[in-house]
Amino acid sequence: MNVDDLIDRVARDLTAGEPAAALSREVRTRIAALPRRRPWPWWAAPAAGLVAAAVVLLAIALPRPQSQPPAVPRPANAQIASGARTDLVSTPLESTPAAPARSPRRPRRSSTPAPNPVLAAWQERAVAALPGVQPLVIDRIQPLDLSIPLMEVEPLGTAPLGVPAGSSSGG
Amino acid sequence: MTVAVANLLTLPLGATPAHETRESAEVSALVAAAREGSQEAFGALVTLHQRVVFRTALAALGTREDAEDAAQEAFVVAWRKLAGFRGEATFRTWLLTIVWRKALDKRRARLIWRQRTVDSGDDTPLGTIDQFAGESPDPERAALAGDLARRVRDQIRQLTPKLRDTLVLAASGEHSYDEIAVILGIPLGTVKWRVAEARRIVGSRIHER
Repeated sequence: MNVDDLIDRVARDLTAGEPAAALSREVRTRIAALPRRRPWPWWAAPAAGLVAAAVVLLAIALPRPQSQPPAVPRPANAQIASGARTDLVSTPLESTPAAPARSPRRPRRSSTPAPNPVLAAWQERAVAALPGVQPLVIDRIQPLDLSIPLMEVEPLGTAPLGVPAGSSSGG
Repeated sequence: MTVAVANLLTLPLGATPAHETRESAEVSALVAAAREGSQEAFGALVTLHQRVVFRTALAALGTREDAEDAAQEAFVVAWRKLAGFRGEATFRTWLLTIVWRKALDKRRARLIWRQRTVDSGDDTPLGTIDQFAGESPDPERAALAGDLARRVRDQIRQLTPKLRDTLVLAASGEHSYDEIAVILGIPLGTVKWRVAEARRIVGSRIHER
């Protein structure tokens, strides 16, 4: 017997032996005690993944609900107060700078989006639009031409000084 | 339940087939019936495979008690996961992979093998290997052979886990190299190298003594 055979023989002895006769019975008992539950089929995990992906795609495709617009102070307008309601103002959602900007990466696919309850509520309490304001007519102020008569200055006539004779003062 | 399955359920204990390179039709029928929920069919599979499962666990754990625990747990796990068995490998190989993982988990948890201190305490010069046969009527030779066997066993136990596991599985006579490769999750060439390396190390060490 060479060394390898000896090693193999000793190694085989390390795993020699038979299981206890009760092993099979114990296993059957434990299996019978398990709750009868249908195990998940092998395709359950891929199917769950597909469903999750579909949900994510739907969430991306559907229009997202817009957030509540910020409170806009109601303008104190005399005409509105008097009931001169002619038209509704445009929604502040689009004119307010604080309105959320649409993401350029997610264009809306639906051309007729579903009515937004938040937007409808906002329009319900919207203020009337101001009537058309007549443009102011302002006459231009045109200053008249200044007509200033020229002054004629007569030349100064100066008589030559003369000293009368004999009138010298003795002072 | 088919007639073939019903007949298999009456197999006597210990009627374990040898190496199964291909799944037999009977085992396939039992697996199919077990997948449909037949505990009787799975019980027959347990009876058919309990010895190889037990010995595989024993190769990793070293003690009967731990090996039987691991074998039981492996069978229960196999029953639970039977629906996930798609037949890519044989049922036997799939089952042995489960029991091997269970045994490794148990070994890691308890550090059974590594904590064993092996000390032969014997510096007797090595005689001829043939003396190990123990067939000699000479009591002295028989004692030498027994001592040599103990030293070889001790050296096997002192191998690294990778080398020791591969060597013991290969030497157990229960597995082909291909099956060992699947159980351990390593290439076939690695299995062959580990067995050769383990033999070389053990042989050199017992010659050093």
